Amino acid sequence: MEANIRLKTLSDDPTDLKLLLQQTHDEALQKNEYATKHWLKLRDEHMSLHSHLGILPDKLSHDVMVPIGSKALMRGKMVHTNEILVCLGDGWFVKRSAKEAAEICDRRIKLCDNMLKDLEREHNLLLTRKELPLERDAFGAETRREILEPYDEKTEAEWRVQHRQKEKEYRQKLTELRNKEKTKIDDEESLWKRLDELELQEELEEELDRFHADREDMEYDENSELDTDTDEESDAIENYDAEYLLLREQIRGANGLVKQDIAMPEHAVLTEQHESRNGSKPQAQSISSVSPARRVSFADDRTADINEGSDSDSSAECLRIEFQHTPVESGAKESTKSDGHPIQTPANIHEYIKELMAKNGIPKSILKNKSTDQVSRGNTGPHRMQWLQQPDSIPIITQEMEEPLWNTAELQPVEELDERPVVFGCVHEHSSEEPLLPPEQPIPTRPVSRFKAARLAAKR
Amino acid sequence: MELGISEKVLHYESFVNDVLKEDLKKVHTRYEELNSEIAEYIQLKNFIQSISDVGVSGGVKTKMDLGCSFYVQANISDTSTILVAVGLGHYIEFTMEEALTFVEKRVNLLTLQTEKLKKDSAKTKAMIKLVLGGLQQLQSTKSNKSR
Repeated sequence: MEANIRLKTLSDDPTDLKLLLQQTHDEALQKNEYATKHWLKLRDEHMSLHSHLGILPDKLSHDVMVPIGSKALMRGKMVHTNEILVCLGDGWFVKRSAKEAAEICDRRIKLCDNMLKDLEREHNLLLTRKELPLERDAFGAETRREILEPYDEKTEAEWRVQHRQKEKEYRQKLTELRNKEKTKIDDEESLWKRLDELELQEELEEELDRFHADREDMEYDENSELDTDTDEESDAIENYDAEYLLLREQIRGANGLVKQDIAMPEHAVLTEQHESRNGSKPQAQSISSVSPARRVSFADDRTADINEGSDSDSSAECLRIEFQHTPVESGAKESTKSDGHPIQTPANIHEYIKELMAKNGIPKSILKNKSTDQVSRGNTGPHRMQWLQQPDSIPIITQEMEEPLWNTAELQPVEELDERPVVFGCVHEHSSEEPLLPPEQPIPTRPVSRFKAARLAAKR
Repeated sequence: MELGISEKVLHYESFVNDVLKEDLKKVHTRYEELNSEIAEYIQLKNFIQSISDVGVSGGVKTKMDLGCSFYVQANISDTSTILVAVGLGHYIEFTMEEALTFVEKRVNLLTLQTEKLKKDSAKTKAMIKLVLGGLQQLQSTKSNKSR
C-alpha cells in the first residue's frame, strides 16, 4: 500500500527510482524471511513430535503433567498411547495409531521442506533482482551522463539531400577517372597483348598445378621437366603460341600413355625371368627424360576393364599372354619367398591380385582421382582403338620370349588355361614422332575461348 | 528563518512518527498481551471452580496436546492439587483453594497493569495530537506570512 502511494507521487529521478526499488525488494525479502522462519518453526515442531510419536507406544501409560490451559499443570497419566487424535484442520479430527500419525507427520515435514526450498529460491530471485540493477548500473550515476541523440526530421531530410548530391559528384569523378584509364589502353595492339598475357597466365597456372599434383602422386622424377617448365615460364610471353601447341600435345600424350603403370609389374617380372630386356621399358623412360614435353600418366583400373573388353574384340592385334609355371619355378619361388616382397614371380602376381580382388572386390587404384584424369578417361576408348590399329602400339612382349611360355601352356588343357592368370591390362606406348590425332581435333578438356579462336582464325 | 522553520517542522514530524507512534505501538502490543493473559487466568479460575463445584473423585479425562494439534488421552486421577505458573517459567503447586485465591490476585494485578497501559496510550496519543496541532499552527503562520 505504501509503495503504491509512493508510486503515485513518484518523480522520474533515478535516485528516487532506485530507492523505491530497494525498498520494495527489502519489504519482499523481509516477508520472505518471516515466512521462512514460520515454516522452519513448524518443521522443527513436527520433527520433535515425530520423535515423540516413536516413543509413545513403547509404554502403556506415561506419567505426565497435563497442561490446563497455558497457565497451569496437573499431575496425570497419559493412557491409550497408541490412539492419537489428529487435527486435519478446520475442526476436523481423525483418530489414528501412533505409526499412522507419524506418517502424517512425515508428510507434513516434506511439505515444510518443499515450502522452504521454494522460499529459498524466492529469496535468491529477490536478491538478484535487488542487486543486478546496482551491478549493471541501470540507474546510472551523477558523474556519467546519458547519451542523447536528438532526431530532427527536417535536418535529417536536408542532410539526405546533401548526401545524395555529394554521392553524385563522387560518382562523376569516378567515371572520369575510369575513362582516363580506358584511354590509356585504347591502342588495339596493346589491348591484344594484354589479353594474351592474361590468358597465358591462366594456362600456366593450371599447368603448374597439374605438375605439382603429379609430383605428389607418384615419386616420379620430373625434375628436368620442372626445370624446363620454369624456364618456359620466364620467357612465356614471347613464345606463347609455341607453348600453347606444346600444351595441347602434352594433354594428348596424357591420353595416349594411360596403361603404362598397371602393365609395369608384370612386364618387369617377365623381363627378370627371361633375363632379356626387350628395350621397350627403357625406351619409355628415355622418352620421359629426354623430351620434357612428353608426359606419362596413368589411367584407373576401370579403363583396364575396358581394355580387356576391347582386347577380345581385336584379338588379332592384342596379344594375350597365358602361362603356366613349371615345378622348377615353383621351387624357386619358395626359395625366394624370404625376401618379404609379395611379388617375386608371375605366379605371385596372380595370387597377390586374386587376394586383392577377394578383399576389395575390384582392385583399388593407388592413384589419386584427378579431375584431369577423369576427363581424359572419358575419351580413352576411341583413342585406344586408334592406337590398336597402329602397328607400333602392340604390347611389349616379343615373340622369342613368349615361346617358352607357350610350351608350358600346351601341357595344360584349354579350359584350365582360361582360368589361368591373365596379364591384366595391356602395355601401350608410342613414340613421340608419330602424330596420334589430327591436330585440328578439339580437345574437350580445354575449351578454347571464343576470343582466342577468333584470333587464331585471323592469324591463319 | 524560513528554512529554520521548515527544518523544525520536519524534525517534529519525524519525532511524531519515529518516537511517539512507536511508543504507542509498543503500549498496544503489551496491552494485548496482558489482556490475553487475564483471559487465560480467568479460564483457569473457571476450571478450578467447576472442578471444586462438581467434586470429581474418580479423576478427569482430558485430551492432551502433543504439539501441532496431535492429541492423546490423559487421565488426571489426583484433582486435589494443581501447579500454576507464577511467571518466568516457574510453577507452584497449590491446592485448589489456594490456586483460586492466587489466580484472583493475579487477575487483579494484571487488570491494574492494563489500566496503567491504557493511561499511557492515552498520554502518547495526546502528545501526538499536540505536536501535530503545533505543526499545523506553524505552517499556517508560515503561509500567512508568505501571503
